[in-house]
Amino acid sequence: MFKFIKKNILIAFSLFTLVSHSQDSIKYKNHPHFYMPIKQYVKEFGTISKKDSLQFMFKDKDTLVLLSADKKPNSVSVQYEYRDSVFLNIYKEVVFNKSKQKKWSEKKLRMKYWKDDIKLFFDKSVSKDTKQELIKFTKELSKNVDSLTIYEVSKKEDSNYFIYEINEKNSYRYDEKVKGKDGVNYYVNWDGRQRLYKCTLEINSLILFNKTFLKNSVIQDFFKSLGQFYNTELLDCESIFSGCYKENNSYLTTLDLELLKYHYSFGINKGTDLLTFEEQHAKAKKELKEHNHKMNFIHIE
Amino acid sequence: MKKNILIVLFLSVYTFSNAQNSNLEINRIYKPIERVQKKDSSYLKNAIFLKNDTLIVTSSKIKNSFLLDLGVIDSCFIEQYKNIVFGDKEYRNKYKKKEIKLWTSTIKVFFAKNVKPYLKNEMLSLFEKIDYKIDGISIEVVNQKNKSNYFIYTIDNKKHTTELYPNINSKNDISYSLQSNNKNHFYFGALRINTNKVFNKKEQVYKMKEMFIRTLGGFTLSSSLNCNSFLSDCYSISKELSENDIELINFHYKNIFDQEINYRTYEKILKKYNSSKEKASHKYAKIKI
Repeated sequence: MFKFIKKNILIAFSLFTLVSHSQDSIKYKNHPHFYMPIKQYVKEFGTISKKDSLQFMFKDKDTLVLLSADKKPNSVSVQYEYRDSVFLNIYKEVVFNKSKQKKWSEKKLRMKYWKDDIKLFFDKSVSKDTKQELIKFTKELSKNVDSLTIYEVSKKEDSNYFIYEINEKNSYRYDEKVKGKDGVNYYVNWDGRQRLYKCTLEINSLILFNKTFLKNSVIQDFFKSLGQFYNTELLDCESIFSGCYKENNSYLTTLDLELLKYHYSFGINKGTDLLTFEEQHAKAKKELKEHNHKMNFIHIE
Repeated sequence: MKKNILIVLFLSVYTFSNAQNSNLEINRIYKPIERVQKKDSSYLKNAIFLKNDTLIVTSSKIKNSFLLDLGVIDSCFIEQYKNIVFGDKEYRNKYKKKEIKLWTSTIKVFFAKNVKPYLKNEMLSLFEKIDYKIDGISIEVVNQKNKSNYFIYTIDNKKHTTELYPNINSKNDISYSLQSNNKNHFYFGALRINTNKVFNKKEQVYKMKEMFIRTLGGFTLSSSLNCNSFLSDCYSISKELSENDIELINFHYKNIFDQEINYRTYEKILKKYNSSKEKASHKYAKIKI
């Protein structure tokens, strides 16, 4: 009897630890370290705190102090931006593909965004209608979303977002990395900090021969490339995140635009994985609830 | 002992991962609260609070919850249906990923110039029959390719040799390509016959009709159907749309699913439907799996 209980307590305990996710500290990997000579530090920030004095580094004849996050050069501090859990659940689906992520996978999906302006260049092969529609759409986005600027450039070498079309007149595939059979596809690059910096979008009007569908697909895929967004079953066909093909010209719902705006806001750390994202929100919400204080998030250039 | 640990582990992870999704509201339509006049009692469920607005859900459905009217199910008929949708029993393992798919928008057909008149006319008469006899499907023929969503063309070695639709498998004598969205609704199709490989006129007509009918649901041919049916795997050049074909396709379009339904899910649905009380009175049955 006693043996039986002992064995099962062990099982129950190990299950409990398996099932609950807990982490003590949020590890910020690959965080750049900035050091400053002691004299300059005192000049700029005044006296050295006890905490700072624990982070001295000795180089040649100098004593250097490790700068804490808020004192780093080119850093911006932004207050926590509160969002309710319903909104965040939808956000987590389209950014982290939460419900479809394999629980035991090693690869941690991180949220991605464009830091620099998006400079579009359209190849001659792109039809006028499609080009006009996309430019109109991007102008609206630039207008409505802070920190997101999109415009057309006249030279390919000045751009970071290249769009071309495969049609009866052009069959040249500029980048074989762009894969997919549904008529519009893109390939986007990102750096170690999850910042998107280059994209190639391929339109195939031989596959998508219906004009309305083609326009819709181009807009949808372009939008997705702004954050490598996923589709979600939570939203119906009117949403750009539904993966449906609409036959009307209203591309974005109020919620779609809000999700994009939030993605380009800085009231939470960028480039994080799902777990970190959830933990930071939990911490920030706790601060807000218990101390009525908004946490600050520091972003470094 | 080891076996017990494994079973307990598996069950706990399984239940943990499924517990949160039992009443998931999907396919939500959000509207700003000011624009909504009629609000039901639970209008704040899953509402989103923004700085300048509140968005509420005006339409949605619960995942894995269905309102179905399958009528009184004949066991022989339902087996035939499962065969054409998920594949014949013996080969069903090959089609593990097969799901229920259908058209929810009008099929707008465009014929390429190279399609010969006799072929085109036969297809037109088939479209008329389908449009008339099958509820839930409407077919139109359009004159401009860029306004269509279903493209039909032919290939013959003399003049037309290149595939006009890139996703068509050029190795096949006759081939089709369908695109469906996340809800498993078809929105694009293409159908192509190589008249050099299929050289008999009557066979061309037969094969084109058979393929087109298959594209109405991504159906596979089954050995459980009578030879006069297009959905039977039996070869017969003088087929016409049979009563059985019509019945099966009508059944397919009787209930529109808005999520992915594979064979296993469908079996669960049927089981629950068979044990529900409403089925006898021909009313819709509320099923949750």
